[in-house]
Amino acid sequence: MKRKIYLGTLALLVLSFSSCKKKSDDASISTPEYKVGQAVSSDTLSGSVKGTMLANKTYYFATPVTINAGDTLVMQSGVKLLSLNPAAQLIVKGSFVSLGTQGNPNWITGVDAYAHPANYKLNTPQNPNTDPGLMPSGKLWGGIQCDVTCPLLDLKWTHLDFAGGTASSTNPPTGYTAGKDLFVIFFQNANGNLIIEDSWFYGSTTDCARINGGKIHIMRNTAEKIAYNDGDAFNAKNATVGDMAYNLIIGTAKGGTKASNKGAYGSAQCNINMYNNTYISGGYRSVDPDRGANVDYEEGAKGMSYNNILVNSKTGFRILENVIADTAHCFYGYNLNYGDSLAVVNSIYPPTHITKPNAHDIPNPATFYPGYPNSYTLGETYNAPALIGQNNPKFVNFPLPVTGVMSLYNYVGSYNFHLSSGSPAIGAGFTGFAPLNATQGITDPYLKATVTLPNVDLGAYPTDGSGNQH
Amino acid sequence: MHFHIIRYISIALLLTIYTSQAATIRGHIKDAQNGDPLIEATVIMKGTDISGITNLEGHFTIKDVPVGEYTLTVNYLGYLQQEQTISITDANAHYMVNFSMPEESKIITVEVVGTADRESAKYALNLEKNADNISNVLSAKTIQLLPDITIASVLQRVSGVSLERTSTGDARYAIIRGMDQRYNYTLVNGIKIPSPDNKYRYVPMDMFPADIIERLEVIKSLTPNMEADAIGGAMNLVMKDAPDKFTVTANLGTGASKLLADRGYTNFDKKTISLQSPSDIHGSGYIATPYDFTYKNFDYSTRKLPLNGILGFSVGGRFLKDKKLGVIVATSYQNVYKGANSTWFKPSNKPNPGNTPAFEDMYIRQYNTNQTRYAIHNKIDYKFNARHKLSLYNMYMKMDEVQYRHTIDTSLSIGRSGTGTGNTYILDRSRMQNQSIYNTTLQGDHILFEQFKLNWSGVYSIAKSITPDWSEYQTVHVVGKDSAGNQTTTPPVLNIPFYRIWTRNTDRDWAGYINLSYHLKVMGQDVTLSTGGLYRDKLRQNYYNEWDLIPKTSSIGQPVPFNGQLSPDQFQFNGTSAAQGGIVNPLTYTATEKILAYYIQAKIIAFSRLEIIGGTRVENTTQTWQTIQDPKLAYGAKGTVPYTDILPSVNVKYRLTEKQNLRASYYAAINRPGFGEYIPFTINDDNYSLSGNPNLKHATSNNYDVRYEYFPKGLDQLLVGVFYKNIYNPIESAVNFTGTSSATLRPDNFGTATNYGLELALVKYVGKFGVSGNYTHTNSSITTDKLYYNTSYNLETRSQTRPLQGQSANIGNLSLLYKDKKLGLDLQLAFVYTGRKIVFVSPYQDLDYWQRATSQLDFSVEKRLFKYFTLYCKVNNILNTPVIVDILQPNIYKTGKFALSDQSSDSKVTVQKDYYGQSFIAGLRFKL
Repeated sequence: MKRKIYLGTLALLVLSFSSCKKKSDDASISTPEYKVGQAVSSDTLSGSVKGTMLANKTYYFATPVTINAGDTLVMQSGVKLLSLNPAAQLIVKGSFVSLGTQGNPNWITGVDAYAHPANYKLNTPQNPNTDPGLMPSGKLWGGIQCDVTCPLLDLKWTHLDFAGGTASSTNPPTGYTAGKDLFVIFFQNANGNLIIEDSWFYGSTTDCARINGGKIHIMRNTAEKIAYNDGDAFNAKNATVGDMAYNLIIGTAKGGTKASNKGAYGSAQCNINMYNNTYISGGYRSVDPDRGANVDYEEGAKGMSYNNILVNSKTGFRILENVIADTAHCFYGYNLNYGDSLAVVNSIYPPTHITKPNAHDIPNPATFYPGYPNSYTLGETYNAPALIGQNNPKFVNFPLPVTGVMSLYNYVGSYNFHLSSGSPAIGAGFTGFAPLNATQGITDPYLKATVTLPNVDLGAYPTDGSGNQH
Repeated sequence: MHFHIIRYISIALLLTIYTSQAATIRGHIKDAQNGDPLIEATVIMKGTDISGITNLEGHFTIKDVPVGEYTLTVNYLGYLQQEQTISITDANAHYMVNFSMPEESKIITVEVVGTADRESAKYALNLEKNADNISNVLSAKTIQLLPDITIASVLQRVSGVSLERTSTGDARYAIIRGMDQRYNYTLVNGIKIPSPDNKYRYVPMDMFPADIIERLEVIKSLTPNMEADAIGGAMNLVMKDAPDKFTVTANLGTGASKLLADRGYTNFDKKTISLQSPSDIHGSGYIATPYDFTYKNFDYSTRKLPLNGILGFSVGGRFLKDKKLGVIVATSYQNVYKGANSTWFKPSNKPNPGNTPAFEDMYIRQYNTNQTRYAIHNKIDYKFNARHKLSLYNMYMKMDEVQYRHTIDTSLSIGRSGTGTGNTYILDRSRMQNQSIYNTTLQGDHILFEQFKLNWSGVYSIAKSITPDWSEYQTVHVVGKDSAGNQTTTPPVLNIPFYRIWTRNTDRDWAGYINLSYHLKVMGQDVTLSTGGLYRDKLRQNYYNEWDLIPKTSSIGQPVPFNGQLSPDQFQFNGTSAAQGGIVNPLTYTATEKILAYYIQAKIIAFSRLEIIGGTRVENTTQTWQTIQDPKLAYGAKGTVPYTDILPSVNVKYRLTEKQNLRASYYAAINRPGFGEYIPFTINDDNYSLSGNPNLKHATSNNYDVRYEYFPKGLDQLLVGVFYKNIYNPIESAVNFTGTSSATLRPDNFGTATNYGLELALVKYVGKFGVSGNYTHTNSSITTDKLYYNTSYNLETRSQTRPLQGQSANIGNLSLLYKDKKLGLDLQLAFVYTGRKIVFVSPYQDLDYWQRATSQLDFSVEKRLFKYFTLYCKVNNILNTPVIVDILQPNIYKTGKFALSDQSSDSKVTVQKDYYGQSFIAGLRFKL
């Protein structure tokens, strides 16, 4: 008996270890060195900065410059921020505001491109492989990379020229891995505000603006030579809401304005109004056929899109069927399409997509779309050679029909996209809808967006002079 | 009629025997204590070369014995040698000689080096029976007869184990009782080995050829002297030991794949691959140009029917006075060609509103794979005397894989107007991956004083993986229709991306083990107290460089039609950092892991019936990482995570009878985060960000087991067990989404997961026929956060409960065996059933990918030829079992413009269907 007790005790001892519990220690995880943002004092920016860049002054940067979360950097009017090295870049964790004016715009570009624009802005048809606007060698700074903490990026009357390249090999901005293409503007805060108005983009590697969530206002801008062979001008994803209007978009690799609810960036459906834009010669450099539609609603996106002019667009106005756009809430029409080739006019309603012809579109679908308006199939392939060269929007100065290769008309130069009298675009528009005015929370008179309402004339340059001021 | 013929033949055979004018000795050999028949025991007639072997029921027959006086000797591992003399006087008579073998003392059983066969099934069964913990053991003999040539495929035959396969259908990782590879570890001779995987610790089990091991143990409960990161279990590969008798074995085989015989084998020349990246050659930071890369790795050539080659060789024996020195060297070489045909519908990253699956692309793929395995290991041991022994073990395993993947990707979203139309992408991927594991272990066994033993090991291991110039280029063309309905095709153009990736990693491991044990009698009962510890210092280095070549546009700003020949002038880089190879990425990091572990353990054998092994283990772990990022700039570029676990365990075995055990066990175990899982590097994927999680905690678990074992006789056995596991803080990749910022897919800890189940294993022989089967039922459950895309086009977070990835509720094996000792013939038909399981966990609710249940049938046969040779043949995947994967949602893709092919069900959408075809191997084995 005693022996059994003894052994039992031993057995219990063996078992008793099971009552032990683990203890845990603390992990140590490195945090970046915090550098207090220094008020702008010298003419060369580096490290963390905040404060004000004074009117008409020229500043330089050669490295990524950070605006810390909570800090604001303001450019008054007439400020030049010139890059000395392609590694120069703005990393915006706080707010960045550029307050150019019509008479005194701001510039962010390469120092040499600013000094010798004629060497960089080649405003004749160019081989893209030697054009600084499109070649990697012409990417003189790394764009404005907003972190998820950025509450406001506000660009007015600002030239953003020759930005792009690939993400840094030492410290890629949030959301990038080294070597990947840089957007000129990357915005990724669904609760933040992105205002880009009356500004200019010239050249890029990929998208002018990629918006992974945000309240946006992109109005009255000009974008030329966007993306080498993969990129759109203004590309909005899930949780992005706002207007893209009165923009002149010319010579993009892929699309012009694009909305897709792809992604999981916030709790709002992608909702973009695209109205009164003028799109010229977009979509040709895309390696991926049919990807670059000039007005494009994809996967679960919605919005209103009226009064646009599309000239020689490789792919016209597209509503994607798979993965399907929120077609119940996509409203559009009153858009003018002009084409110098059969391929272009046969893609006004791009085959295999479900863009619904609208009786107020120019040309009237009843004149060419099979079965319209009584019985027709969306996405049908059609053949409308009669439309070639028809409905010329009569721009003040732009050769239509184009002479030479239409895909090389990717610059503004001395062209003028205002409407001449007698243009079919005049008075053909629809004004019965309202802009989303998504950035209306920004009420400060210096900062707030100026919304231009839809116009009865089509395109970015209505005859009342209210649209694009470039 | 038939009966007559058989009778006639029988008589004829008998006549042959009787006319030989020599006697026959028959007999039976059994365990003296319990009467168990001893199988495969050798009976030697001293002074002659005549011998016999017992069959499955312990009977032996020796024929053609001339008249005379003989001494018969029986040796059997674990038993004392027995001798009997016999006098043969009548050349036509039958003589009976039976042996009753007394066991050697239990305590020293494992020390005995007998002439009995450690590679035999019986030996494995005895190990299973006598083991301290709950385990399943497969012997070399059993493995040799299996249709499998890698350890990974062998594992699926073990009770409670199922497999995770590669894209070409190769078994790679073991899922033990529903716990996937992250919960299991691999030992070689009881020593943990590192992995060539680039993120995790688990070892690809198909690196090991099946023919180099002595036995495979799957250990399902831990004792305190074992490392604790095995919530699922541990796989121990016990390598061949130096045999007492000088032995030479050789194996030569060949084979082919039916699928490749049907469609040919196409691949690139691996010699065209540049092992060094541009930055290896010119230094980090080098700005490459498209001229720094070869394009010859995309020159493919086709062979009609490549033949596999299998070679194996081993030689070993014991030498010097008293056989003090034991040496064995074994090598194995396998060169195997494989193919797979696959259809895959790529679900869109985001479902349709209402959370129904959406599809954007349809992939039709052909895989051509060449796997070459090299294995060499050697063991040298020296016995100074009965008390001291030193051994040195070396192992080098290497697996090279050369794979060509051809993909036709038809877009369902762009340009689709019905079947056969749409943007069409042709992708050709060339990839060579070389992986290796080297291990060297110096081990000492010492009896210091009476009852006081010391055992130590010093270990160096290094695992490596290198994938140089892994690249894929693609072209795109549009198949459409003109307005007249005629098919149109645009000329193909080069598409982006065209990646060139060099990636490699090493895992270097120094470890020292020490174990001390002291045996004493307490109240007349055997008690062994032991203590010991382990220190491991691991250094892991990962490197990843990727160059993305961009196809140039034409001089008029349009894509250039592709003429079928790649050349550097067609490409450029988009920027300097792209030309430098994108060095800063989450796969370039250094990690260390230092583990200090120690334990105390007591083993009590009371009244010869009750065995208790219990104690506690403490494991101190410090994991660190350092990415290539500058810690001054990037959050979490460096980190250190220390943690300590106190891990009790107890295993109780009660011997109900000599043939029956009842076992119960409890053990605590952990699961460490993978090396890369901590790193908080965020990258944007199409739909969500991907990131590591530095705040990850390691998982801990409590594991309970009860098992009943019955070993009636011979190889027969019945095992019935139940298990229950509680896992705290299990690590799963899941979406982290607050609705105010981007959703991030990252590893996280998720509450408590449970896993319980039942295991049943049975082996029964009747004469020459045998049946071996096992069945495991597993039920696991884990709850994680998922996304739900609602009909208002917005995302919500919802939690979902599901089984663990890779866990099948039902898995089973059934083998029919035929063993004819006399003819030297072995046949085996092996059937494996794997119930449906999740193979990919979707970040979205209810959109997980479920692989359908599979039934695989394999066959193998062996025939002894002459004295030293065995002819064998293996046929795998006789039924050409496809792997079919579904999303379990109402199928809206059976008809319509976006209909998917091969849809049979209304209640699930088939997203993947892969075929691998049958494969055949035939060869010859030699054993001296």
